[in-house]
Amino acid sequence: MNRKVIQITAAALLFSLSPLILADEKVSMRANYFSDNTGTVVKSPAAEFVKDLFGGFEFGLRYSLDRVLIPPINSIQVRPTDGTTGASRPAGNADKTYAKNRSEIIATLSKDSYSASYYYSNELDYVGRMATIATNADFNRKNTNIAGSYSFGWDNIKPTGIDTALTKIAHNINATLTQAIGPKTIGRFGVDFAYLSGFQSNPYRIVRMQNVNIIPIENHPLQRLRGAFFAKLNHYFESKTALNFEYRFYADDWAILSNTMNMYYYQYMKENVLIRYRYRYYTQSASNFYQDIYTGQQAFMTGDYKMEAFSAHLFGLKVEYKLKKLLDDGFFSFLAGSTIDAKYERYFSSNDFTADIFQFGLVLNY
Amino acid sequence: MREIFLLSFTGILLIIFGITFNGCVAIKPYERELLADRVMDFDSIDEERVMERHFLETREGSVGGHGGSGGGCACN
Repeated sequence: MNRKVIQITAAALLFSLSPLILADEKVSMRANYFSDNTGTVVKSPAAEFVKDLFGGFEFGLRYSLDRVLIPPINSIQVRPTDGTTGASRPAGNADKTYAKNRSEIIATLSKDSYSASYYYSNELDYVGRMATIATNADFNRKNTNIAGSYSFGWDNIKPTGIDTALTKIAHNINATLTQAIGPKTIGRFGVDFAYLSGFQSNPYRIVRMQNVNIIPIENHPLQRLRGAFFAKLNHYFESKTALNFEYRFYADDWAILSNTMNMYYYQYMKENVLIRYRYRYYTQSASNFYQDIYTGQQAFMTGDYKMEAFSAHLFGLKVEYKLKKLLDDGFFSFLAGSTIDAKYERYFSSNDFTADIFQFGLVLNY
Repeated sequence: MREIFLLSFTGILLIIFGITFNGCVAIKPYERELLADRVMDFDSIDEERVMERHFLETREGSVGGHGGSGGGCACN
């Protein structure tokens, strides 16, 4: 099934890209490399393009493939990252590295202020789907914009080695207000809500018990209501620099509260070189059923690091180079509006987790 | 649950605020050059964020707060 999805997507991309060479649109390709101190490695190539269609419609397609390598369970000192979804790795062949592929495709069709998109992801034990509709409207001579969206998701989980099929349903709504505050300042504020029902645990993860003779599997509640408020402010300085500031407050009915602060500082070094420095701080409280070690069987139990209280920092540097100067004339002049970029970020948290993230990108603007 | 109610209330306030005060600031088209720069565009790094969200949601208990697309600077 996974291979079929990859083949269909690759064919669709190739088919769609060929007429795009002459179009006045964008193609981008990215390669992500992620590694952490548990030994998990994720390599993710991704491609995206946007194309104008007849009648004022615009079509976008994004495809990515994750190649996930999770180390032997016995070698892991820190609780491992869940690969790319909550499905993680099965316990079988615990002394061997576990490799799996995950493919993801997002197709978007938009016209004027309306858009509809479909998301599909597939891996050995998890299929995720989500349909989204979104709209936005300008007011006050385009100084104000109000946007809203609704998404419906339905996932199927088929744990490896376990004879059961599980489902998860998700409803998401979002309202966003964007406001120009001055000639150099713009703000965005909004709220997101999500209601999830169905299986929300990791089918392979065991819970730490005081009595080592009992090894229960994680069991999270089947319903979850989640909400977030966010505020963003971008300001441009005279010195060809800009500061983007973001804050998010999150709460859910599992009693997790979190605060996130995110800052990007941009500096134009030359007309065609842009440098971005980044810092992100994140802190959260524990869920109401989280315990380091359980003393007895309870209705809800978790071994999930995402359920504990912790804080995390992320530092990053990105360099973007516009090919314009290099390719103004000659055979490659059609790439003149394109950019290449490289990014490095380091993430580390108070629960003994560190990760390095590298990303390389090429954006072709025809 | 108290926090969820607070967030709902904030959302309603946000919409009322947007509808009531959207005429208070009016940046003229010729003043929007800097607002149109890509470093001022909230959506310019969406593609990068998709990949990042992927990783963060496997490590952190929170999601959301990214916002839908919209202009507000007459540049979309």
